[in-house]
Amino acid sequence: MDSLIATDQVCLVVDLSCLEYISSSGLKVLLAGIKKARKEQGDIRLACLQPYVKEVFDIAGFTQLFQMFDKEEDAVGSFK
Amino acid sequence: METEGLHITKLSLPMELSSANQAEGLVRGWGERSGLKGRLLFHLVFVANEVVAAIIRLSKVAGVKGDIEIEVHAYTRHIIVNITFPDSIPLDPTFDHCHEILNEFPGLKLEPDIFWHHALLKWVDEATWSKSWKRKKRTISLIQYARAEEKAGELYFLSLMPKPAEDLKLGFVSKGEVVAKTPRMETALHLGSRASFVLNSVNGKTSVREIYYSFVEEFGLIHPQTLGSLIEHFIDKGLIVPDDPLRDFQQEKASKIKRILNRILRLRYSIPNADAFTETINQKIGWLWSVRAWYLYLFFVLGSIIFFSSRLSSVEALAVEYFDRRLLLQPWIWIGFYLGISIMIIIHEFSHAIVCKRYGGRVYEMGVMLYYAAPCAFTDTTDAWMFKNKWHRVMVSLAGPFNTMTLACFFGWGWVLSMHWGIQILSHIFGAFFLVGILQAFINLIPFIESDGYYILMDILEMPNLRRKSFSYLSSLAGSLFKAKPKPQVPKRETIVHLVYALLAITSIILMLLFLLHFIKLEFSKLPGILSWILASILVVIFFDRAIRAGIKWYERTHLATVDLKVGAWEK
Repeated sequence: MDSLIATDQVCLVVDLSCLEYISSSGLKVLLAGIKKARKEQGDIRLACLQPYVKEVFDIAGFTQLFQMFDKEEDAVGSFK
Repeated sequence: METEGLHITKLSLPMELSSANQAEGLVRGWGERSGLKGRLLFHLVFVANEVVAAIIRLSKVAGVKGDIEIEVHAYTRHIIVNITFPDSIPLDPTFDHCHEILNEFPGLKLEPDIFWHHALLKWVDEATWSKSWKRKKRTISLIQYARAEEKAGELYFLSLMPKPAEDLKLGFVSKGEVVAKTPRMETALHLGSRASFVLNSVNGKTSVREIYYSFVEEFGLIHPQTLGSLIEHFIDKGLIVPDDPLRDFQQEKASKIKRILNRILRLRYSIPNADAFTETINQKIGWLWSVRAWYLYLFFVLGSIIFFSSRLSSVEALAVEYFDRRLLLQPWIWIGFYLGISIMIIIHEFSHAIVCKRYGGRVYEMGVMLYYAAPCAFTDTTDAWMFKNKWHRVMVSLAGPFNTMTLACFFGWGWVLSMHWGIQILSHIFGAFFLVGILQAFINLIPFIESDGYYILMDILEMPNLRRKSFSYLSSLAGSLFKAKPKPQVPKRETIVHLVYALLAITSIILMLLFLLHFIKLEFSKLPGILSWILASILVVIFFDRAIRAGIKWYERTHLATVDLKVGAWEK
């Protein structure tokens, strides 16, 4: 994520469809990523979250911070 | 590393980030075995992982070395996870996370480092924490109950201490029924007498378990889950508010001095995590309470009874000697009785707990206390009430008096042998223990007072609340005979049981009171004036205590009902 942002690719979509579990360490990585991306006028948007992972985002208050989409295409489309 | 068979139940992990994954694996494996699945399992695993990760992070910050111990106690319907860590790690499970707002991202409410706390409060059924002064360790215990996610009313509600919603309005209808409403509800709830009883009992100071006891006392035995359902329903409707699932919050906030004073004044000590404690003891010496051991004890007790029956005159002489004025005034005889009572009571209560554990039940609470300067032990084995096999329930109730009797017989033999060998002090001590044990076991088996014998009888007959129902039947029968009221309609078997029980109970209570009065008259006359007055005062306080408590309870109930009547117009 850092390397992408470093090469000016600051509008990112993260497909989380294969992610079944995420801990606070994982959340921190995303938090650091969105911080950097927004500094460069970009954003990170999340797609295809599994229900339990979505709950972790909810409890951490990330749903207010990240834009989330059910489909990857919608997330990509949201940047246009 | 400790093992249970081939399965690891306890891990000692270094302060490394990889330890969180190991903890997660342990909790996940045992969680699945305990019947947890889906969201409930995910929540527990997440919280355990996050707590361990937070401990490790803080240990790095504070430069603390040491291990994290993670231990699971897996049962068929719930799991307990204990996470123990060095006390010097500044992890505070009681902080108010609401103040930890990250300003950098306005939308983000929580600092990532405290997700664990938020998740713990939201996702774990029960969470407690304790501090061991001796080991300089802290333990966070997590309990999760296996249940269907969408299913309402589970056992975990029993430990909650809910309080009524601030805007709850109750309106009295009739025969104990109330109408309950909050401004957020579209329509009011009309509650029957049972549901009203539960709602009226919620006060923020009484746990659902205590409410359950009162309910059973008032209306008869129901499954605790049913009451849990009702409590959850009230919470969903916004009539009551559940308490914070993290225990010891208030206690930890209080100053150390206040805590120590509180402990001294209450003179009550509960073993932290009684269930895990009992399980550990059960694993080590549980065989002492196995069925084979019981057969052995039975053989021993019967043999002893036959032996002592043939020497009744000696036992009688022993009792007379102990209640003789000369001996009653000697302090060592009091110390002997005091110690004897303490040992017997502790073994008695412990036996209930171990047998409950052996049949798969959970021990909610266990400890020791002083009751009017008398040593007492207590254990909460209400889980046994849920055993489907009535003989398992009987065994749990019987375990206490039976083991007391066994122990008393041991002391009896000690008394006989020490007399034989001419060791006078030992013979006095063993003699005191023997008498106390026999008396205690006998009293506990009387089914006409609320003793173990009463619960045994109820379970054998499979008639809950036998005492209340029997007296109620007798009262109705008397009403039909003398006040021309309709005769109570109950099945023939119940009629006979209720009638026989009520009559025998009344007779035995009268006999016991007469015996007590006779004893007091006989013994107090031997004592110097001031001592007899002191003892008489203590007895009066003990006897009137129940009456005073009942009076307070009655006042509280009537007081609540008075408040109900004063609220708005909607209840009309």
